[in-house]
Amino acid sequence: MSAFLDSQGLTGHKPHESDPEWLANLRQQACGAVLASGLPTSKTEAWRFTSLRKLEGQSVSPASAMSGTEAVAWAKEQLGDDETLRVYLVNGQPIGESASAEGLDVTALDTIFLNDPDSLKAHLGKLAHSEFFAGINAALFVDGYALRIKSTHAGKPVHIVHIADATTNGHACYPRILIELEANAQANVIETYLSRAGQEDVCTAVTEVHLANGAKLDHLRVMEGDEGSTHLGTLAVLQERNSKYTSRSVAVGGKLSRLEIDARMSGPGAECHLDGMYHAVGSEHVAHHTLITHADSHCTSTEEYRGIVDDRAHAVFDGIINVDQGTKGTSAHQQNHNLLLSDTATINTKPHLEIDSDDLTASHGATIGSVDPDHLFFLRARGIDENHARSILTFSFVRSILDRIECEPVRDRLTAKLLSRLPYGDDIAELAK
Amino acid sequence: MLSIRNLHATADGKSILKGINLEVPAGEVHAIMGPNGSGKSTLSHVLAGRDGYEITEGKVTFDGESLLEKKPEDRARAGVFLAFQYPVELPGVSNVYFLKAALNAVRKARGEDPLDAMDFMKLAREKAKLVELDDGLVKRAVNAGFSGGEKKRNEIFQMAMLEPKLAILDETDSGLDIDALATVSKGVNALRDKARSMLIITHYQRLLDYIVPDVVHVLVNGQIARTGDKELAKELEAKGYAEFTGRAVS
Ligand SMILES: Nc1ncnc2c1ncn2[C@@H]1O[C@H](COP(=O)(O)OP(=O)(O)OP(=O)(O)O)[C@@H](O)[C@H]1O
Ligand SMILES: [Mg+2]
Repeated sequence: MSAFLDSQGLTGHKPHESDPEWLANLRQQACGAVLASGLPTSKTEAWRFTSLRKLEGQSVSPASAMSGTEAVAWAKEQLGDDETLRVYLVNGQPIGESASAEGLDVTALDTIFLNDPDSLKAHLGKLAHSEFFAGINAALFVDGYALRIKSTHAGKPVHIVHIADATTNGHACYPRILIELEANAQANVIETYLSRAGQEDVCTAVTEVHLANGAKLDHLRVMEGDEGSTHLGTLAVLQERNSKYTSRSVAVGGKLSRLEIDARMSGPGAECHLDGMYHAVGSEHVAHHTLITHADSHCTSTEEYRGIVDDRAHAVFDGIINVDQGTKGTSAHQQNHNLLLSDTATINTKPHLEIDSDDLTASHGATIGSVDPDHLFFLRARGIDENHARSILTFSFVRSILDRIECEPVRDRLTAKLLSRLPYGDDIAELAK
Repeated sequence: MLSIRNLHATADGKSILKGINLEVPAGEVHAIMGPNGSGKSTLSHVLAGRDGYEITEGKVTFDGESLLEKKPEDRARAGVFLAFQYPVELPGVSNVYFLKAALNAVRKARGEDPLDAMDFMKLAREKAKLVELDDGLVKRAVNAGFSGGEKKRNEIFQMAMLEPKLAILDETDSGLDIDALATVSKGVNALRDKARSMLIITHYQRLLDYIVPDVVHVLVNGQIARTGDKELAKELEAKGYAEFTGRAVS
């Protein structure tokens, strides 16, 4: 048994008092699965490129949200005013007021457990698998938020701000979010995972998303950690007929940032678009593992991840598109492009399709390259100095992804954040406008 | 203005320029013609400072200063401009941002104050008119999705903005339709100046009907094989390069 699993109290784990029976069972199962498997090793295919050896020996007791209001004030300062409807979680626990608007209900899970637990039964814990870190979260999460969105909802994006705030006696947190859109509902949801004060922290996060017929969700998910933060995220999506899901992942910092997406289109005519932008420097490790399943006919999926990797950093993209037997009229396209800025950085990219149908159009591709010397020469030949030219080309490699972020203040802040991390990024502030 | 003495250059171990001698005084327009692969673009790249060539012999001075040790950006700031045979596309970089950065870098080197956004746009609109480059294109990403002709107009637009002392135009006429050729030539002619020299690389005499050169050089196999006046271009148009390459044209 690893110190990592031991220290979090998985052995001898007891369900929480407020747990309804179905949840207690779910936790027990997840706990059993995690204890049986232990942490993944390099022999586990999906973890081949991400070593957990250091994490394994680390003791990480669950952190409380004691300093909640202070952490929220800190987050507000980081984020500025971004014209969104915000809720905050500190170490996975809701802090402050929850949000509500026409057709939108955001309620703490704990409150729902007290009043109407069975309303969560259909999807909570049912969409995400319970292996490894998603299993740890299932066993240990204390609270979180449920977002329920009706077709009458319109208006501001909902911004869920997660703050990992390690203290001397706790480092681990387990944020849990459930997002349900009823038939034909539309919403824009942003999740930002921040890490406070450079302490060692481990955030094991799970978000489950259910889109009923014709629902449409635009979902931005930001991993914005620091040199002490480990983020192990799972995002599970179930889509019904004619629904449309767009996920945009932005990774701009963190010792280890990993996101696993499992999106399943279970009704005909559904659309799933996953894209992402990552930037890793120093010795950061960033990984995106995506699985899109076309379980029904006439579904469309697109994927485009673009990344910049510098210094001794390591980036991983591992994408699978699964097209089930007998499905018709499938369209599936997947792309991963990487800009390698240093000889000592590492990139592993593994795009692939698993197809059991012959009625489809599909493509996949990946590139790894450095700054194009012809582009660099062109800019320099016009009088722009080399460092400035490099930073122009580096930023423009990924900007198309950032430019798709609809909420302008959020887009501007993330763009500024990226620029602050790029060499000579300050020189090109005007380019980003 | 530009003086090239016995210039030899190799790329990937292949000898391309084999002793070029060329003098371009201030205010003169020189045309360079020559068969495919004779080294015309290589010469333009070597002058602009592109990586990947080894200068094995020779010397180039520009405005009295040795050019070959300078970085490409320093050559541009000193007044060298290359209009590319194959302009690159830069999605994600707007023409406006790129040109303002370039122009202000060049202005700084000339000891001039940077232009602010408003003055810059005013100048850009004025210069875009010169080559009839659409306002919409000025604001788009550099050459991204531009037609072949639009890319070439954009090169001359950049030249008009940067006001170089030496402009090297590498096959600016290729890919231009008949009207565009006239427009772009008019733009280039408007930039002719007694303080500005031009080196015009082309395959076609027709361009030289519009931009009448003072001198015409024939570059064959890495050397200047003949130098003459504008009549030389007409002769080449009629007879081809057989005389220089030793190969008969069938
Ligand atoms: N990096 C390189 N390595 C090897 N050979 C090269 C390299 N660059 C150019 N060459 C060769 O040098 C010769 C001259 O090329 P260059 O592009 O200068 O010709 P050009 O006169 O501009 O031809 P065109 O009229 O077709 O534009 C060609 O044979 C070309 O293949
Ligand atoms: Mg050429």
